[in-house]
Amino acid sequence: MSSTFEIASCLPVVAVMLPLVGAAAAYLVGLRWGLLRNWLCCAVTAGSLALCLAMYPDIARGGVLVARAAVLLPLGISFRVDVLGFLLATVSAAIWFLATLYSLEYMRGEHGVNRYYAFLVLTLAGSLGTFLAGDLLTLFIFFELMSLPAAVLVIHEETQEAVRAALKYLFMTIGGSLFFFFSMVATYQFAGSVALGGRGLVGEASTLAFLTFMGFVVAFGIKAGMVPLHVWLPDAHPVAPSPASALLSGVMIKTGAYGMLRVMYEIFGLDLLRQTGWPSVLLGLSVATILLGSMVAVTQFDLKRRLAYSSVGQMGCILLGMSLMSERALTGDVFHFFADAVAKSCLFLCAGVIMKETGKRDIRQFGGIGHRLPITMACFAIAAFTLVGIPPFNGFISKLQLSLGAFDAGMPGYALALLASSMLNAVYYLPIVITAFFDRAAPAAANGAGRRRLAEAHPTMLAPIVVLALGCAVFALSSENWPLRLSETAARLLLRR
Amino acid sequence: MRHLPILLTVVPLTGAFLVPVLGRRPDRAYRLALLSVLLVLACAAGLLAMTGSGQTLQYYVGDWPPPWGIEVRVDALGAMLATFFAFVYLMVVLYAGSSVRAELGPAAQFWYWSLLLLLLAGINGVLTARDLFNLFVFTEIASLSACAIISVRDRLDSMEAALKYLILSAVAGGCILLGVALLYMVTGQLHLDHLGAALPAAAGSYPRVLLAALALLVSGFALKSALFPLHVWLPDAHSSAPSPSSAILSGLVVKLGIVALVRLFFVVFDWRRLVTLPLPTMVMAMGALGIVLGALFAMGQRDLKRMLAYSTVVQVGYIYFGLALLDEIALTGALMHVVNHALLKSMLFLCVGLIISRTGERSTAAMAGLARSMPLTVASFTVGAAAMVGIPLTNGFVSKWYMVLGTLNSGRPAMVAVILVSSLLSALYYFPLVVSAYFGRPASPQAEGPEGPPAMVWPVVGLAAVCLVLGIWPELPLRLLGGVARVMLGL
Amino acid sequence: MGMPLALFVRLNYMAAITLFLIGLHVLLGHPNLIKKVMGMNIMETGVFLFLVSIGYARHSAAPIMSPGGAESGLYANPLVSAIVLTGIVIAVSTTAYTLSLTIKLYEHCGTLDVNRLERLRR
Repeated sequence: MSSTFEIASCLPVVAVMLPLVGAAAAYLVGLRWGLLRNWLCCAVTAGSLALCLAMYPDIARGGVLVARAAVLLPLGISFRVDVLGFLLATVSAAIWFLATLYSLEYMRGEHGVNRYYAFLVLTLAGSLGTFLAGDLLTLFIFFELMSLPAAVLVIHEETQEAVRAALKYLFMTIGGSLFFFFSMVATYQFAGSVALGGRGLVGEASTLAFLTFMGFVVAFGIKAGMVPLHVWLPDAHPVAPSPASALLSGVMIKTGAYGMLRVMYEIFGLDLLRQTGWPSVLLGLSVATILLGSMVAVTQFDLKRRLAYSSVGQMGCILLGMSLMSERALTGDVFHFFADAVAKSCLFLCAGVIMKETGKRDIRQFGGIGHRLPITMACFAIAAFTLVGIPPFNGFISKLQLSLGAFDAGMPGYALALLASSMLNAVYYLPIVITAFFDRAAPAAANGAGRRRLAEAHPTMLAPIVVLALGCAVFALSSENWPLRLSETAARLLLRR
Repeated sequence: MRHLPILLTVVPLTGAFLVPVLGRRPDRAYRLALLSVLLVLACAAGLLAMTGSGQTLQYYVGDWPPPWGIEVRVDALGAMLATFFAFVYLMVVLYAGSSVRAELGPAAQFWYWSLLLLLLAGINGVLTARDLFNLFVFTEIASLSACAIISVRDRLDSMEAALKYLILSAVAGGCILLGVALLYMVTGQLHLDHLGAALPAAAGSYPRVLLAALALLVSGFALKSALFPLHVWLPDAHSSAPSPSSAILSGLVVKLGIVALVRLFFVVFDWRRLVTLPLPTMVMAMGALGIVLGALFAMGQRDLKRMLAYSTVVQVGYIYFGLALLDEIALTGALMHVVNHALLKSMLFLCVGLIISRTGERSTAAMAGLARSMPLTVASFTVGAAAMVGIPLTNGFVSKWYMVLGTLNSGRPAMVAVILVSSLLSALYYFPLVVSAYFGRPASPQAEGPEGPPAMVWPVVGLAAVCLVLGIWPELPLRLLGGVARVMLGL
Repeated sequence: MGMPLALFVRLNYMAAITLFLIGLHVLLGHPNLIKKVMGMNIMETGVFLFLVSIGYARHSAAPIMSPGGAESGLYANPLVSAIVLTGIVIAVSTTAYTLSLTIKLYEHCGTLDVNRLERLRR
């Protein structure tokens, strides 16, 4: 399956245009008919998911879908969908659909709902475009189209805290996009093209090439929450409404890592990177990201802040995987995109239920909460086990592959970083699960007279959580691990084996 | 059809004289002005269609060929700028039709329309002039009428701003005229092409005179276009005029000096010769300083119009920076930015005018929470802010792309930092306003009702729409300007 | 003959440039508005003098074609006179306009001193 062939297809264009048009339609419809808008948004996200899935037959045959539209200067817009783009686009469309479903109940009676839905769908267009882009300019445009509207989701509560977080997010995003812009133009200057899918456009090492590489590292590092550029993330993700946090932490920050992956293997190329050793910059930063993100997460007692720092730590694993540059590391890396996206969005959705139903954010007050919200907390536990890397869930597979990749790359020391990540994950996730189910003293204090009543969330909120929790386990347990197979193919494609 | 090039100047000039004669009643004056601007737009669009294929139109006034007569020439650059400028003018006139009634007394109104048309004549004259002296005369017409427009409001700060502008533009005018005289002395020519042809010989005999002439002309036109550090008059002048006039002053009038210098650099003084002087480096340095310091000043402003005026200093620096790179791609980007900034800044000034007339406040705090009561205005402002920062799908992105590419192409990767810093700084002073407009709490309860007269709102929306369209389909202007850049650089 | 003539011709130019600089200095440096206007006129006169000197050649006649023509066969350049005339028109209108603004300002503030005007505004 090492050889690929191109298939002209309008599917990627339609998949991106649908939410783009849908967002505008949702806003206009929502001015009059709120209910219609809600279901329209669900339909649009479900439609995007269906369109992504419709690409599968071609992808499975080893094809690469390409589409090109000469509308935008200077280079026109193009889409190019290979296995990697397909996998991530499908996963993100699925998570978007579930988050929209979840929002139906979660956002009922909130202010600014119309704006919220329109921007939720708009950011889907941005992230789908990012994953399906066929050249850097398209990637850049959709990257912006996702990042800037996301500020509206961050600011949704309109509290002072939210405004401050959103401004911080906005300025760092713009700063990042300037670095991206510089590096993109420099790439164009080197190669006269910014097309993705090659074996490397930047011919040889030079100071400018190094600056270009660093520009990309900064640009995508900001989005991916790489230490020390992560400062916006722990502020911005917790203040957003929970379904939006799930998307921000689950999918949108992955676009940063995704961009880095594409840039490293398709703009710079494996040979150049091996020869110059530039990825060691990323190696060092990713280890710092893993350790710092996880260690700070231990000190956070606000549930959503802890989850946000945990995202930083997980992004460290992903960045580490891509800079190891071995096949198994890449397989684990791509699989970890999937595993973390599913698990982290599940966790954020659970957090939303907990906050909505109990009004608590501080995890020290979570004693006995598992008895009131059994299904939610069970899903929370599954997702948490996934991120810790307990077998047989997804996280175990990806961390195993990543560690094996570290050995393949001749750098076994980095497996220790992954191990540390797992241990720290255990330190900050497991106590939540344990107190939720086994703390017998707390519920009496919390609910009075030891009364334990069941207060599980509305089915449309619960269903997405359950589906995501199943997603953490089903593939790992079944004999045919579909995402893992796709990840292997994607890794081989990136390495051109 | 043959007379189109001269009609570009003659129509508004005639209008300017007819308004005081026929249009004593304000609404009749307005209709006359509107008609003139529409005619100019039609002429300019016709010229653009004719020059679109790359040819230039020459017109000899009174059928006297150049060494004796005056030549008016419309090339692709002139036609395109004239078209976009006339479009901006049309939007501003539509807007001013309502706003001037509120801002000026009935007696001052027809003077206002007359001056506006006179200014348009000056602008088009500069765009089409082919000899140095006419360039000077039309620059002076434009400057004088611009001053008069500022002082048309009978208020102390307007008078002062006008006086400051007038004195500095008299200095600039004197410098330019002396420069023209020096050039004429050593070459005996005034026509730009003939001057260009005669200069190499003159450069041998009178190198220092030429240098002095160049210095005088550059400082004169740079003063008129507010290149840092010669920008001191601009914030006062642009912020104290009525809003529609600020739109024209900031959007169009500062561009005249730039256009004149473009003609000088690339037609008269051979740019290959300029490279041997430190001039391009100096202009680049001033542009860069203007970008950074202008942005810092803009950040410190609490007055919306002053902030926009400082932003103009930044953008002028940006354009000069692109010109001084002397690179085909950067030049295309800089010329594109002349168009983009004309559209953007006039749109932003009109937005602010709406906000001021609605809230009665000029401070940046007036923006808080406005999005609910003025959705279209704030949306247009957002488009403008995004384009100033250079976000994709806006026209600002297109010029930024070309500028950065040109900077790299000319082998100065470090200079890219200037452009990127400029974008970041623009974000720092525009985006907090946008965020507070959407999410801030209004300081005082807002008035109910529509956001303004439709005749004031729709021009703003129209300008914003053109900015977006140019961001998505910039092929036509880019193709034309790319051709212009190649011709100018002799490639 | 050569040396004194050259000096004479240069003297014209020198005087013109000197006038220009004096005018510029007054225009930018003097706080009094009326004097600023005077400076402006001096500066412009310098430029006009310069222009006229360019067009003149020793022993040249006025550029009017007559049956006999000029004795020396030399005519003064008429173009610069046209330029100077246009320049004077611009200078006059600028002066008139500046003076009218000055009057308005004086009516408002009762001073012609630019520095005091600045202070009044604050």
